[in-house]
Amino acid sequence: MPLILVQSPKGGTGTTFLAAQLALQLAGKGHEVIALDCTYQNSLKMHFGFTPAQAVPELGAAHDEPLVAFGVSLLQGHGHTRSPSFMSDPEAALDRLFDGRHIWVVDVASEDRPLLELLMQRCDLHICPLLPTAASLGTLNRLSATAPAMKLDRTVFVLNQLDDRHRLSRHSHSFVRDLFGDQLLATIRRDEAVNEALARFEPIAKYAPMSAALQDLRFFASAVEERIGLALGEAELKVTGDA
Amino acid sequence: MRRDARKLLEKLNRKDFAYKVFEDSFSETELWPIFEAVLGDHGVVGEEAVTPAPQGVVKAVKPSASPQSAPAPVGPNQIFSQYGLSARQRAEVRDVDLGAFFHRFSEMD
Repeated sequence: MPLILVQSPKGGTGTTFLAAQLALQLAGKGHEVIALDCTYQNSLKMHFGFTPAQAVPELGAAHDEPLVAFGVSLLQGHGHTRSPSFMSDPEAALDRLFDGRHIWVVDVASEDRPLLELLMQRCDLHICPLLPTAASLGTLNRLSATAPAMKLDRTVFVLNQLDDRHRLSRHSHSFVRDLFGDQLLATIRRDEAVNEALARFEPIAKYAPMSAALQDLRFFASAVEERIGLALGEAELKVTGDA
Repeated sequence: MRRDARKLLEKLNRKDFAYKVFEDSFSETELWPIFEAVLGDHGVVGEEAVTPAPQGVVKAVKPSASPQSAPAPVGPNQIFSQYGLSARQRAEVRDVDLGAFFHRFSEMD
């Protein structure tokens, strides 16, 4: 039951974007993936082509019809993970929730420290998106109350919205790479096609198959697979709708 | 011409594009004060945190890979070979002497 958390102490770094794209890429590789949105924004679904008004089945509600897109099952967990039934014994609740057949990709809000700390104990990988900005780098010391960022074995970083046209962006890339070594799992180039695809409720692969960010996302998913030992199998690297 | 560029041009079937290699922009890498602050932060680097030197933007380091190259997630060997460092050297810098890492940014020109 691989559990992958995507969370950053800084909001607006692309956490939901990366969680959605990772789920899409892993599903495209043949994995059975559940994408769990634990944020109040409930916007993960938009990356799968759903409108903001689309209802997403609530975590723990057994009778809801599953919402599946591009091979990924979508769930909303913001309400359930705050419910009295969950909070009365969260460990037992998580034991019941996470099955062994799927890869769970969980989008956790930047402010949701209680849920992060709960899930960190059982996750296989914590992906922390960073931006090449001072505001983002300045939150690196907020990752854990017990260990420095460089010593977090299960935490890796993804430098998102990298733009080599800008000096600080280039230098931040160099700095983060030097500081974290292989804890820097991937970089994703800034690409307006990402925003435009989202505005069309289309996968990036369909809207902009030559997108630079899309190439980076494929590398990112492969790096995640390698990092936590997910078998590639014979599935080809192809997301549904991936031209 | 780089192989990936050549392949891309072939894929696009464009023979009229000019190809130019720009100067390696990483050669201008600077030690920004935010980088100093991060290096001096126990919450990021632990006990090896470095007391920041006097502030200032200092030219640094060695040229590294072109920022135009696709940033594949690679291991430390590849990453630090771009800086002329081996993974072992990298580990030493990271685990033993973060000060050396700090000064590598601040002292070179």
